[in-house]
Amino acid sequence: MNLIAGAVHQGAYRNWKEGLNAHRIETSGTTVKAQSERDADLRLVARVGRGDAAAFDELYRKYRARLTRFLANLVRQPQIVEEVLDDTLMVVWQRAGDFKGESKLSTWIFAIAYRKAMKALRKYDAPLEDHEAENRASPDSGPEEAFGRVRLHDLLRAAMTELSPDHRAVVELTYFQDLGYREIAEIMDCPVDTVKTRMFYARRHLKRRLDGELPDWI
Amino acid sequence: MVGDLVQLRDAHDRAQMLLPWHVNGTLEPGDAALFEAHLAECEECRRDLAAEIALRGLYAEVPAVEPAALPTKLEARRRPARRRPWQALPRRLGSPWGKAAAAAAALVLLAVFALPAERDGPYRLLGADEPAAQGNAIVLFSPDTPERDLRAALEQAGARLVDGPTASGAYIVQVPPETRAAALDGLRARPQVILAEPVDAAAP
Repeated sequence: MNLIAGAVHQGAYRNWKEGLNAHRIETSGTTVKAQSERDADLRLVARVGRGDAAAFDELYRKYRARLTRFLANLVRQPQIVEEVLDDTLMVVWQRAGDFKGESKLSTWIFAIAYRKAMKALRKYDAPLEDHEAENRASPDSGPEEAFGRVRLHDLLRAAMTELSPDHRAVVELTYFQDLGYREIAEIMDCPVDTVKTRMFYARRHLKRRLDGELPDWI
Repeated sequence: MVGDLVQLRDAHDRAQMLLPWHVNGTLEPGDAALFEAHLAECEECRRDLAAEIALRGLYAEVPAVEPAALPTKLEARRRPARRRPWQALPRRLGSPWGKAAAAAAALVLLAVFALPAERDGPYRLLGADEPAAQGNAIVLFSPDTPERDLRAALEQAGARLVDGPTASGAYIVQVPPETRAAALDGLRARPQVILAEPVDAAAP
C-alpha cells in the first residue's frame, strides 16, 4: 500500500506506540484491576437483579453512551436505535438476576444489544447493506472542506453503510469499543475466525473507499 | 524454498488478520508474540500498521448517528391542545426507574381522582369544553407495548378509553362497574401492565 508517505508513517506510528505503551504500563496490574472491575460489576448487576433502581441507574449511566453509539452504527436508523436501546435495557433489568459472571458484564450487555438490533432490523425489513452506495457520487462538500476531515468523515460514513450490520458491528466493537476478538465472538455468537475475517474484509473495503484520501488526513 | 515462502505468506496473512487488535492493544499473548515477530521483518505490515492506526483514529472521530428525539409511541398519541393537571409528570418511560416514577405519579393521580370535589360541583377535566366521560380505572402499560397488545388488553377487560395517554403514559378507562375488579385483575396479570387501579371520582 502506497497511501502514506514514510515520514507520516513514522509520526503516526510513534504517537500510537507511545499511547499503547502508556496504556500497557498503566494496566500492568491488569489482572488485579480487571478482576476488581469484574467484582464491582458483579455486585452492581446482583443489586439490579434484586430490583434496586439506583443500581440500575448506575449501570445505565455507565453503558448508555457506549450502547447508543454501538447501536447507532449498527442499525443506522435513529428511530430504531431508540427502540432497541429501550428493549436492551428492559432485558438487562429483567434478566440481571440470571447473570452469573461467566462473561464480562459488558459482553453480556452488548450481546443482548446485538441480538435486539438484528431482530429489529429483520422486523422492520431494513436494508442490511446499501449496495447502491458504491454507484453514487461521493458526498458533495464545499470547497473549504474538500480536503478536510469532514469530507473524510462523509466518505467513511458512506463506506460504512455499504457494509453489512455484522461487519459494522465488528468494526465498531474493535475500533471504538476496543474489544478483543474473543469478546466480540462471544457478543456475536460466532467463531473467533469469523470475527477476524469480517474485520479483514471490512477494513479492506473502508480503505478502498478512502483510497487517496487517508494520507491527506494524517 | 517454496515451503518457506508458503510459511512466510501464512505468517503474513495471520498478521494481517490480527492487525486491528494489535492496534487496540487486546491481542492475546500467543498472537501478540507471533504478530510482533512478523512485524519486525515485514515492511508491508509496518506500512499497513500506520494506515490501520490512521483509519482507527478517523473512525473514532466520526460521530455516531444520533437517535432522534422522537416522542415515544405513546407520547405521539397525546392530544397536546388539552392540558391535564398531571402533564407535568415524568414524560419518558424508557427505563424501569422511569416506570417507577411514573407508577408513583399515577398513584398521585389516583389520589387526585379520589379527592372529594369540594368547590366546583361536578368533576371536570381542565380545559374540557364538555363534561368529560367518567373513567373508573387507570392503566399504565410498559412503554414498549405494541399497540395491538394494548388494544387486546383493553378489549379483554371490556374497557373503553376515556382519556390518555397522559404525559406519564397512563390511560384513564371505563370498565363496567360490576366487572371492574375482575377486569383489573386480568389487566394486572399481563406482563405489559405496570399498574391497573380503580379510580372513583367524587360524586357531584
